[in-house]
Amino acid sequence: MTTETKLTKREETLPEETRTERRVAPSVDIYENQDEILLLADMPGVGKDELQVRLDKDVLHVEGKKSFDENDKGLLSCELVPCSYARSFSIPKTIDGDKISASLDRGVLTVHLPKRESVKPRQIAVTSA
Amino acid sequence: MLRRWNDLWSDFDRTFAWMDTVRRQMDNTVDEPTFGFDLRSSRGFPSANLYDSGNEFTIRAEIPGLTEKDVNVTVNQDVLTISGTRENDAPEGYTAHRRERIPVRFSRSFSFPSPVDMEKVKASVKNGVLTVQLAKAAEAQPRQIAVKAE
Repeated sequence: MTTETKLTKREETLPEETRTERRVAPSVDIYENQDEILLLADMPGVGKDELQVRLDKDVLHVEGKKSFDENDKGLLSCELVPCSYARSFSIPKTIDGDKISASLDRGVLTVHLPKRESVKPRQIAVTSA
Repeated sequence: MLRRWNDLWSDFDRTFAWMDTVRRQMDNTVDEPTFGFDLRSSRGFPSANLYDSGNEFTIRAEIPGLTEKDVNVTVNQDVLTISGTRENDAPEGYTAHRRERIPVRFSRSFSFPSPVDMEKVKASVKNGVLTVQLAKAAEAQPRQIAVKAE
């Protein structure tokens, strides 16, 4: 019957994606004041070498790989698995891409996104005529 | 009007394809704490792995943003308690657009299948991960039994 070939054929054309590790979105806090946007992301277990923060056109990608010291040491209870953190944010054009800076401390990533000078609020002096 | 067999089965194919996509999406969402606080809140903060490597127990707990001064580790005969407070680290003068990292006061206890040697407990924090190593008490150490031939 035609059913057999159609079903099996479909499986070949749409192979399932297998990823070697899980991708998890880290929890973030986003703050803003008049000079910059501040992004704080929880990425415990990620060292500076495994962390990648990059700006691609207007999207900020934050990626990190969680490292585990030894595997299979006689696991009794498992709530953490090796995984990679990944999250992307679209950045408004008011941010100056060249001045973005990031630091990693105690498993928390802090990204400073300063705003362009031209968009900062400005005080206009009022002179008496 | 009798539809052709091909048309009839293509409806099934579309349904199976849709079911496959939904199943895959459900697989991806259910087994991971993807946003950090949904599963954690039911099991307790911090999320932790327990290991038994024969001579000692090891606990690996994720405590992002906390240093060794912010966390208390206490050990009893066979119960380990990790407690502390995750303070609100919102910077002054900023408006918050999104808050997912919630300040929390936590206390989580783990019990072990055998007693531990309280003199030999080591705890360290690196990159927001707390690792506690507890050597098993002498009587609980694994022992090799010699097998004699009769």
